[in-house]
Amino acid sequence: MAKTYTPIATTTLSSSATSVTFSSISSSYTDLILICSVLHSTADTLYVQYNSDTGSNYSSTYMESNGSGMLSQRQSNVVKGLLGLTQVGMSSTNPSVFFTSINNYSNTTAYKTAITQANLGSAEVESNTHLWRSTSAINTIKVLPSAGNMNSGSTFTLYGIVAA
Amino acid sequence: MANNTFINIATTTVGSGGASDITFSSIPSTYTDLQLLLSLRTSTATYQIDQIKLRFNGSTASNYSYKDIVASSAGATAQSNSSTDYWQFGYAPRPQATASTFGNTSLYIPNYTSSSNKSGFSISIAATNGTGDYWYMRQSAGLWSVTSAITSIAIYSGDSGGFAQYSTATLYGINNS
Repeated sequence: MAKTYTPIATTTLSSSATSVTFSSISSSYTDLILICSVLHSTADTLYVQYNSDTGSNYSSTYMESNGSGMLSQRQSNVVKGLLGLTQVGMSSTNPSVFFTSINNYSNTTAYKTAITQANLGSAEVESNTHLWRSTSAINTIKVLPSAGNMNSGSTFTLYGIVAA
Repeated sequence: MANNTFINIATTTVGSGGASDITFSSIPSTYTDLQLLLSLRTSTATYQIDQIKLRFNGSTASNYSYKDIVASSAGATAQSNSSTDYWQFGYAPRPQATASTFGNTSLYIPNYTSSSNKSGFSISIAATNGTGDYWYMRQSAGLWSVTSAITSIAIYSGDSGGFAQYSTATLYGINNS
């Protein structure tokens, strides 16, 4: 039977945390899927950093709606890649869901891009993309909010997809 | 070797005569997330494009909220609904639309058995070959403010006219280990 998504690692927070990190990511897959379901103590935004890079090597473009209006903006030369939610932010009651595709993550010739659908049904819907200006293969992904803690019960799963 | 992750729970293909709704019941609690993939055409005779909606666990209580970005020939707009008795999450062509065209929708629900309220998201498109306002795309963030595990998903057409023959719906379970 052919494989589809292969679970690489999963984390469910048993207590609040300021970040979750996936390390030693194998380069044997073609693409990665990161699914986060996050409860957060304050209305903050979720980000990623790759390979412990905290330099101003990320850019993001997003469109989002809080249900009453739409907004499109861009972040350039920042220290984190955007996962969402930029306008209303996350909730402590209702899980915010982030579905991120990081395609061709292990190539060593191109910068890395990712696409995320970020959703909070009570408050905000968003699509965004971010760029990490590095030709290094991604071997570490750190998920972190702009501030505060991610609450107990938040889940983070990384899948690998093999093209053949 | 890792277990297979994407597991087909059930598939429905609408036969001749159509179907009033498409329902997945007795959903096992053994997966981590759910993904629903739809190819739909509705049977409501008037107009070109229909909306599609769902209910979880047969619940008709006003526990659904959703925030949408909707794109059409009229432009992109924001939509919001709260405390409704369904999640309206996508589009499908109607009988007046170009023949043999079906709308495509993908809906994802993580942690469907958790003890938190249930969040999910969808992306949907319906397009015809006609002129005028006959295509729609929707990205929807949905919330069901119920802490029970999801055990059934019922899908309806917006005007309750049902679904046309050859419409398909497949429910997958996603394992995170």
